[in-house]
Amino acid sequence: MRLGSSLVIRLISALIAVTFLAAASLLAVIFFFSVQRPMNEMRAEIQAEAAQLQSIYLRQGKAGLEAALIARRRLPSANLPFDAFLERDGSLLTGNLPGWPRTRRGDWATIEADVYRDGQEDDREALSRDLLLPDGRRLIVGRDVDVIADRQELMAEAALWGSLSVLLFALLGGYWISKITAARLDAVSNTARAVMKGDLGVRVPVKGSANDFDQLGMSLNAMLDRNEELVASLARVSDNIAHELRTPLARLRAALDGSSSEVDIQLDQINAARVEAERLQQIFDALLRIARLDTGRHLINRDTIQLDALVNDAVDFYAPEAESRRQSLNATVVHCVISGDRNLIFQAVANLLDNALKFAPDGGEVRAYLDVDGAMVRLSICDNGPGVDEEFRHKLAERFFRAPGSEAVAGTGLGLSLANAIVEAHNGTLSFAGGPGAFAAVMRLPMG
Amino acid sequence: MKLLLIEDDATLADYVAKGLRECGHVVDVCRDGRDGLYATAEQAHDVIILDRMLPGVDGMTILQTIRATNNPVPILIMTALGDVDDRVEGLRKGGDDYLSKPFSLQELIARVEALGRRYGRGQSPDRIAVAGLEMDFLRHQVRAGGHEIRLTAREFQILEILMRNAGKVVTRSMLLEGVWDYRFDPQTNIVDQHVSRLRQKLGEDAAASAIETVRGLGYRVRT
Repeated sequence: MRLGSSLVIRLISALIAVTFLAAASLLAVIFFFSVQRPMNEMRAEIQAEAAQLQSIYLRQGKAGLEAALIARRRLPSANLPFDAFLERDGSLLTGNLPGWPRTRRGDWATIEADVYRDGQEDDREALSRDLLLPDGRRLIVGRDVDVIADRQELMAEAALWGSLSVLLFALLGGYWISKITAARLDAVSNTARAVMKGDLGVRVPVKGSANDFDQLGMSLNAMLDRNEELVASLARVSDNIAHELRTPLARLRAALDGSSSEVDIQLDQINAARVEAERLQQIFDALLRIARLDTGRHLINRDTIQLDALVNDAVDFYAPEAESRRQSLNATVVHCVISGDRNLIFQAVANLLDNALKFAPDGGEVRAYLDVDGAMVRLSICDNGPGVDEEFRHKLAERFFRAPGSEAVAGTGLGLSLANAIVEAHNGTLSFAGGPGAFAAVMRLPMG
Repeated sequence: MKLLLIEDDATLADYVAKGLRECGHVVDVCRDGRDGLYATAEQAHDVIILDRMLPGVDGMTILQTIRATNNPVPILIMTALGDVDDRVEGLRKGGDDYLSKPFSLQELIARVEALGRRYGRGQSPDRIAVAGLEMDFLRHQVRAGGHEIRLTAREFQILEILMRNAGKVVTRSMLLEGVWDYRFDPQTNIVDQHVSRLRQKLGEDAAASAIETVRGLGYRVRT
């Protein structure tokens, strides 16, 4: 990401706007307390004084007012008092204002009232009430507000310089933020490009500060880990597919080659070829179903399934198989209901039973326990076969994985993978526990 | 039987048609959906064998069109999409049976003939007696050589399907689908073991040998 990109420009503009608003509101508050409010207080005071002086004039006449004005000038005050008492023709009767507007321009006026003191000119500004008395004489009463007016000017100037410095800092801040953002985002996009090029081991650098960028980086890294894992398992699976499919194909060919040299085709050879073809088809079907389940392309029906009845059906289905090897096959169930695809769930249960029966010894035992565990139903299929070493258990659900020592047992190596894919597609889990003589495949599915 | 085969793959269509003709059936073959639809409207067939993916008009559309005209002709759908949800969709839209490619020709023939019998017969009989075996469906009774045999519900169902198709091959997958109400791949041939258990119960004599094994395919009750 570069500085010219629209995100950076928008970021900086937003920053400037926000900083300006903040500075302006601060200035407005200061203006109100240091200019607006004192000015209003002064205005109220002058208005009260003017009203008082007017009533003195009405009661005591010209002489009374003149006396009152002179007395007012002598009273000590932080704000110098100014006044001008004018005759009807505009001539001054008494007053200390150096000048005033010839004609009245309204009730209020701000009049320049420069004062000479020790030969020095002292700039003053008088906020004045301009009164027309009932008999036509005019009274201007004011007070010096130069301090406040000065403040106002000062603030205008401060606002100008403040704006410039705010602008400068906002630009600096914006640049800084965008530089940090750009650096972090660049790291992410560089990682993405490297992964795209095929280097699956690259990860987004994480600084460990647990901020949003680190969170993003960690999420992306988790995704990349999972991807790498999937790609690796895909590679393993394709190798296995090649191997598993080639073996039956080779046997199929051998059977057919053997028969083609003879005039009369041996029935055994045809049957052998048929068995291999069926095995191939079985592997294909299972692989396709696992792939469709894993990638979420298999739509899961949401039937209401009575799992206890389903487990009993599956046990019933496998009863002759168990009988033929004098194994005991039993189910202990409690009533429970799940939602899902009954054909798929039956397939998963069947595969687990099939697996257990294969590994239990002749005369051995396979038991299915169905119970409720919190919000999940738990189906444990236990057998007293040789079990699987802890180190291989997590690989049992991998496609084509055969635990060491199980090579002699018939199977495609896909039964547990398919069961696992089905269970996961139903938001459940499949795990394995126990050792030799007491091994269990445990399937958990959400209830209801 | 008079059959209609709608299949676009020439090799497969010839192979299937030849096999069906050898079994004494009359087979009309259509290579695309439009012709197929035409043929269904023009002539009456006992069973239609329909490929799911066809040029012109798609197999599912043909199926729905046929059913929209209240034509009850049994239809077997063939498809390369063999997964359970495709099956369910095909059956829900009015198909009577479903066979995924690749299949064995004998499996197809057995299924087509079973479909024809099921629909051609009309009313199914309450009692069947063949090869020393007697089944009474109303009383749920089985007699072999005059003796009553106690069967489990499953064994009864297996025997019923075999008896109702007496003289014809019933494949393992037909039994699996007919008796167990789940569509799944049993991995190992457990159906065989169910049948052998049934045979044991039927006894040592002629009744037991009434159920023949047809190698590589399934079973048949001798007539």
